[in-house]
Amino acid sequence: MKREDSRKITVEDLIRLKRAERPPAEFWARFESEMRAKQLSAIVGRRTVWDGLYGAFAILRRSRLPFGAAAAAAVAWAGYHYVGVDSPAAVHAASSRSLAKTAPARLEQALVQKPRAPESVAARAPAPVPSAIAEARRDLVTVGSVSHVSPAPVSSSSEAPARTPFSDSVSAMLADFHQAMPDTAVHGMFGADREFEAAAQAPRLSMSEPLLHTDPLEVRRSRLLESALPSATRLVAGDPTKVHGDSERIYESMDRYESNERSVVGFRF
Amino acid sequence: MNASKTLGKALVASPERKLEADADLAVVRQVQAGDVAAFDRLISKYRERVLGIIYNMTSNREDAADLAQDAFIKAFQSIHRFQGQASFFTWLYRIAVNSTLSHLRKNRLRSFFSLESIQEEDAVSREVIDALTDKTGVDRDSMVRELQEKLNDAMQKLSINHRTVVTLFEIDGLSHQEIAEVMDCSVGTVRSRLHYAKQLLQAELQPYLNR
Repeated sequence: MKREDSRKITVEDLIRLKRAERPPAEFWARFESEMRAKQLSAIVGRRTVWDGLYGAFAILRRSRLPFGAAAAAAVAWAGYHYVGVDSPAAVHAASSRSLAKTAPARLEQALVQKPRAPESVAARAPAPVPSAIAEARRDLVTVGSVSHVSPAPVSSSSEAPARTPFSDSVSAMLADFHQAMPDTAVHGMFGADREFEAAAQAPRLSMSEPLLHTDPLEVRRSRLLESALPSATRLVAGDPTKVHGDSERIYESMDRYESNERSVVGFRF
Repeated sequence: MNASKTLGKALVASPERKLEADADLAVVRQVQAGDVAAFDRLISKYRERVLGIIYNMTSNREDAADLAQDAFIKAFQSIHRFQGQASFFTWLYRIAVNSTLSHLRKNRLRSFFSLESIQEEDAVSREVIDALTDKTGVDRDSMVRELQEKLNDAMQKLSINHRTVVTLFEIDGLSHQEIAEVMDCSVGTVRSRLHYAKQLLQAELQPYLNR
């Protein structure tokens, strides 16, 4: 009874009871093992960032074939998208556009240098080459007149809008820029500017275009005739109705020539 | 005079605490130097106190165990950033309390309480239990269980911050200054929270007081 009177229970006493709440001994054993496992996983977990990166690279490495195929497909699509042209008309339009952009001097140089490369072909077929150059020059003049550098076309100069000093100065600046721009700066990735293709296509185009309008048989005949009968070349090429009769004459003259040669040879030996 | 002494004791860390802090700092330096096993000594030293704080804040043993383990792991992972400006246990408590506070805020609606057995080796606890048993005449175990449940309920009715202050001051015996450091607030805030929390607890536990 004395103890009851002397001891008054306070809030602090009750709260302090919670201090005496302790888990059993086996709890600490489990706590220790879990703690150890978490500690180890934390130590290993520090590497998981690198492991994640390494894993990503490993995935890339494992499936490099599909990734490579996809990349190749993407490159091909991009190349087709930026470079691809469907019809000869489109080729011509693209080359015309790019011809306008490229420097005339460079194009002319390419045109002159290209036929010289195969020496024997040039010797055998001298006629188409100058015509190709001439045609290319004609193209150059025409295209240059419709290019963005000089916006007013030659053929429709009367219908062109009035040119302002500002547009003239811009055109001049653009022309200067294109003149001064090196080849590597002009060419975009995947030939985006189409200048590289145009530079390569222009001589090819001008070389092939005259041949499209020329009969190969006619060319061969005129080549044969040129050595034997220089005046017949123009005759055959000009009038197709005379081909049959003229060819008889040609063969006769060739026979005569050959017999003459033989006789000459006979006299010599 | 007594009040000022009590206040001074609450504000200023005791010499034992200072010695303890120095010893802890030496162990921390070892861990920082690469002796990872030395951290086990810190775990063994503080695991009960850390678990006790968290348990009294959450009233759930499993959550308390997980949070205590996470607190030690966090401390271990960031021990290289420990500069020694505060004592190690303050730093560790701050980690534990912050983890527990964020856990409680995330799981505000969840309340699964578990009860630990009261170890009656503590003289004050045994005396209180004896007094209550004598007064009520109820079976001792039943009375202790009922009291524990009431205490848990009363603690859970406090806000998180009030509960933390009560736990750190009344149960773990930290000073106002230390609580302010742990909770990153002013000493005045700690005092006012403590006063308010005690008033609420007194109202809740009135049937057990002054019987």
